[in-house]
Amino acid sequence: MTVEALNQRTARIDGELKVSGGADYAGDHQLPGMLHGYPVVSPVASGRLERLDFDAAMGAPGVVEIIHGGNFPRLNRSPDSMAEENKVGEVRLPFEDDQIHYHGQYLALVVADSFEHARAAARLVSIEFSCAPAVAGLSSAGEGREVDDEAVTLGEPARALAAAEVRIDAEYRIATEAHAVMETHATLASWQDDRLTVYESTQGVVFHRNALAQVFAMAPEQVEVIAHYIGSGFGSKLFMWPHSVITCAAARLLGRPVRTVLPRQWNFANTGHRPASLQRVRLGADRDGKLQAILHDALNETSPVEAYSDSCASATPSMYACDHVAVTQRIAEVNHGTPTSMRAPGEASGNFALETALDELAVELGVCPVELRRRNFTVRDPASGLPWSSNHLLECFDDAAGRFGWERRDPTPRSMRDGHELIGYGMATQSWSAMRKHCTARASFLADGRLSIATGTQDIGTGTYTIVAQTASQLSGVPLDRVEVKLGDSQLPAGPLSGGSMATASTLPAVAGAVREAIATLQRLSIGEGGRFEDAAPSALEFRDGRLWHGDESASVAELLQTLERGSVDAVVSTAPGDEQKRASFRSFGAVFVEVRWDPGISRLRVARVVSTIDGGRMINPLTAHNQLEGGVVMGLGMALFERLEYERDGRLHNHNFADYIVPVHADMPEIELVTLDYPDLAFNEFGARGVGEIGLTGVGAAVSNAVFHATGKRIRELPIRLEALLEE
Amino acid sequence: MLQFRLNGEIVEIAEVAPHESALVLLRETLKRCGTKEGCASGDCGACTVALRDPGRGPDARFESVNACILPAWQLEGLDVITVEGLAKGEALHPVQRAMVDHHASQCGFCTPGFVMSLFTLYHDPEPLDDHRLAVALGGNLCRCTGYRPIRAAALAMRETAGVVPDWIDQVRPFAAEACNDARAFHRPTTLAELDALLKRHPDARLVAGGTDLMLESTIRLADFPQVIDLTRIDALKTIEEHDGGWWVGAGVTYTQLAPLLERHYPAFARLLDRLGSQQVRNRGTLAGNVANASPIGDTPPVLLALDARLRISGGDGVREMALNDFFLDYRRTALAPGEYIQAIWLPRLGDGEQLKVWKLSKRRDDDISAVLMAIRLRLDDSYLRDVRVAFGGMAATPKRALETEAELEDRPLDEAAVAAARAAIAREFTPLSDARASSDYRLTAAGNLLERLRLQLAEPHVATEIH
Ligand SMILES: Cc1cc2nc3c(=O)[nH]c(=O)nc-3n(C[C@H](O)[C@H](O)[C@H](O)COP(=O)(O)OP(=O)(O)OC[C@H]3O[C@@H](n4cnc5c(N)ncnc54)[C@H](O)[C@@H]3O)c2cc1C
Ligand code: FES
Ligand code: FES
Repeated sequence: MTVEALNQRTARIDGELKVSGGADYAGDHQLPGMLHGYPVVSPVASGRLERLDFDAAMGAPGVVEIIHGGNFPRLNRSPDSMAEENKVGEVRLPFEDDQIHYHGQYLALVVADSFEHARAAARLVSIEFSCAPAVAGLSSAGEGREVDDEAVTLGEPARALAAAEVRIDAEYRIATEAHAVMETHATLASWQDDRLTVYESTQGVVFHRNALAQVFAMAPEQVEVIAHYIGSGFGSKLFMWPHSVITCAAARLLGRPVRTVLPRQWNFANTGHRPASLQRVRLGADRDGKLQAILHDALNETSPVEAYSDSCASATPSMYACDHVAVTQRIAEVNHGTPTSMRAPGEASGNFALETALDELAVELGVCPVELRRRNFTVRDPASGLPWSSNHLLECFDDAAGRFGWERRDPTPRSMRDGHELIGYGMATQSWSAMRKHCTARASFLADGRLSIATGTQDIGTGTYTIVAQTASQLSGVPLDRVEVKLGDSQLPAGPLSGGSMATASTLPAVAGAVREAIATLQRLSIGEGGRFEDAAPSALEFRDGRLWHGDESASVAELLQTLERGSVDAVVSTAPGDEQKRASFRSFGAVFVEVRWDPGISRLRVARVVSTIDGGRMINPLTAHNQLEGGVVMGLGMALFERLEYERDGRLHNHNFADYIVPVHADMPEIELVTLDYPDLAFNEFGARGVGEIGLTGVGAAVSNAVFHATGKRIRELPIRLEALLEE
Repeated sequence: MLQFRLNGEIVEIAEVAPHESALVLLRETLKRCGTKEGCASGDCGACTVALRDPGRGPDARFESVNACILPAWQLEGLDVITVEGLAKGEALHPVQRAMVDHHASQCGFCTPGFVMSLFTLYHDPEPLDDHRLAVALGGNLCRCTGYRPIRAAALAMRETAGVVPDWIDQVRPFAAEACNDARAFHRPTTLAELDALLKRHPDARLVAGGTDLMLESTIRLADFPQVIDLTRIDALKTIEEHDGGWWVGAGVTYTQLAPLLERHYPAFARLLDRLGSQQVRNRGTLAGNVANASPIGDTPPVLLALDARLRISGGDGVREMALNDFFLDYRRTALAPGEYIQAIWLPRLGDGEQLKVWKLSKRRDDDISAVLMAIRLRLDDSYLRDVRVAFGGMAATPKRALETEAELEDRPLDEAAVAAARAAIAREFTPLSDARASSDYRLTAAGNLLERLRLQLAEPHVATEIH
């Protein structure tokens, strides 16, 4: 069986469970004797906590204890290392000092016998604090500091820019954006002697386990983190946040399980966000539009307790054929909660700036924006000097432009109308780097004929359960409904984070390896003593369609195991990226085209149509892949048009609820037409898959703003695009 | 004791706090965790369940509601259907099957809510069209799918094979046990009982749909020692027709009011389509919207433009007042303690009178307005007569625009009139800047709405509806 057959539109194997309410998310678990936590948070963005008064709250019905700085145990900070796999969202331990760093910072956790009692008592905690002036936003945060290892210089960009015939120099702003996952973060912690079990809504059970082990000074084996189903993450659940530490500490202190389900308001404040950014892009080009220099300087906000860099310009050196490139990254402290990775971190922001600047260059030169990008297509990655493993961007341009009807575009702004509406066409390049990590998987043939696969990654909704089952089924011939997949438990063989579009490329090779190894073991045992084909030559055996064949004779896995008198045959296989990154550069590309309609009379801006073509390697399951890309595009539309965390002048978060933080709804949906080119990237892994979780989102912001320019003649260099900006004269 | 029928089985719960939500009851007390919480503020739809009042007999229909902001006590005597109730063993309901077939869940967290919204649509006897589909999906957020697969499932569900549990189609009334009076959630059934309760508990909070009140508990963590529920009082659930108009009882939900608006005030009906979501409209009331006195409430400007009146009861009997005298200041009304709104008078539009309503918001559904303008007028040979203009989102209360009205009265609506009216708007309003919109945007947009009106009156065939 080859992996060729993998490209199949298989419906999700967990679909039936999800539509009938049977999928178990962290907050759905209840344990005997369980208590409920509800956070008490800072009402201001900056200052000092002077005193907490618990008298009223402790007397409220059902309250068992209030966890705070005064009774919190001494714990250890996590080393916060990506390599050690214990990276956390916020290194500062809860209640570590009495400084108030941001609005919503945890000051205490009320623990009571019911959720309602905990919530009611939280209001009764009185908080005395002194205020300090807050840095309310990036615009008042100053220049910040440079992130040392992120500057890249190729050639002599300053000289090349000065010498260029045509130059663009512009600044781009992006507001703080929230992941706004539908399931808020939740932790259920319980201790049995010196063992800790945690149900957590996490994109990385292994990372979370390691981080907790560090914080509570335990061996990793003593900690088990479980996340069977996750109400999506988009980055916000990659790394551990303080609510998890507080809840685990509370459970240990009280000797009972404690569950904290974050209320929506504080989920907005305390579990990361895409940081606001300010980027300057300078382009130099010759009259033909060949890029001579790209200078991209980015600044993003971080919190006072964490140095988070979004690496906005990191992809810029790889995007186009240009010998003279300089990128820098700075971060500046703002009294907001700590930022973190959000879907297509860095690149979504950086790509908005770069792709809008390119549109400005196209206008300046009077060249078609697609043609400009074609002229600067590069056959190798300028950043590494290596050839692309597989790059079909030019085909993406042709395919998407053709389906969109780009040739109908009159390049003059405000020239295309339909009744009251001005129509604008805009486009941008999409891109996301391809990453792969190590993974270990176990495959077990069971005596009842099932095949069980286990690996400690998790399915955040992208379809990991399904593609793992598909892979195992295809390689073994065991029907899909007889393949059982176990994910989302740190006790399983260690798997990767579900993030960065790398889960597929990392997990499948290990799963395939384990299945093959298990088949080989089964064959070896079957020709050994007491086996079904005792003494047969290994070369005379063939495993096909779930059966072992020897000439005309064959036996099913169940029969083989029965003969061997075994309950199961397993194999554990670990895989890791090889040295392929030394031979080629791996990156997915795409092109996105957008039609907007602007009605000046009623100040209405709508995206009417999106057409995109993506080169993301092979689609293991085109259905789940299209879902991912489409969802990404819609999130990109949210970023372009609506999404913005608003802060008051004193740094307090204003719109931390779904009434005021606007995400796209069904009625906002434009027509979206997506096509994926199916060129396997076999240098990357045997499946040829590069991952599609992030790329759909990239480019959408720029394509919308470029279309808005075409419709209105107004160049908007800020996301989300505010209607006010379009109304300004 | 609270009694209702959950997925076909009667359940009884001994103790329920007055502010407790149906969602907390389901998830925490009954441990039915299929229904999810995404916000506890009615905004995301993850907690959607279906209710049916078997007391209404064979015509009883399912209505979708947000369990997170539904007082648990209001489940009393009802059929309550949750996502766990649809599947019969392995066999999925056609809605569920269609959702699986069309790949309509990714992370799946929003899925139970979508399933229940579509479930009520599935069992609604009306034919499925685009509008009804959009309405049914308008109150549910999904962050993963981009909605298209969910829409595809909805379009296919009626042609999808599946199993509908037999009890779903049978309306079987049952008598919920009489309530114990000592508890703090009071459910009077007559106006006399209501008056007596208000005398005994003048500080009790009133609740109708709860779509505003419950957020005080779930988001602002308030505690309500005493709550008096208006939804059991038949006398408040009537719409009385008179020659000059209608008295709409305080217990009439938006959904129940919709047919009247559709016939007599189509512009108001269009606004209703965009007020909250279907789940919110299935519970929320006009009286609650008025009593809540929010400056960005949707219906007060319309009611002001219509010259609506209120019948207020409690305290010293019944009195009537013009709505225009009701809003005193930011969230302050003319209601005295112990008083309540019994009904709202909607005057019938006279010959040649028209009502126009425009609501501007960032997003199409499920969003509070930035600016809302309602205008009533009579066209007399292109002259404007009896003009009433009212705005929401432009001041501390919903407010009539008296100077603007004066500029428009007795003249044709030409460019000069719009310019004069724009100036009047700028004189009589100083709107706030907030996250929804800036002050300047609100002023400009308000003026643009009058321009829109001018165009519409000049070229009635041109579509100028705002969606
Ligand atoms: C998700 C969501 C979206 C929403 N969208 C909108 C929107 O687009 N536009 C909009 O205008 N509103 C919106 N609302 C607010 C709310 O739905 C409306 O204001 C609704 O009309 C309130 O009616 P209710 O019956 O639910 O009021 P309740 O919550 O029951 O009561 C509201 C207040 O009025 C009091 N009250 C209720 N009835 C009476 C009475 N008869 N006499 C005296 N006092 C009374 C209550 O004590 C309470 O203080 C939204 C709410 C939610 C949750
Ligand atoms: S939980 Fe979001 S609407 Fe109820
Ligand atoms: S499937 Fe994840 S929110 Fe809808």
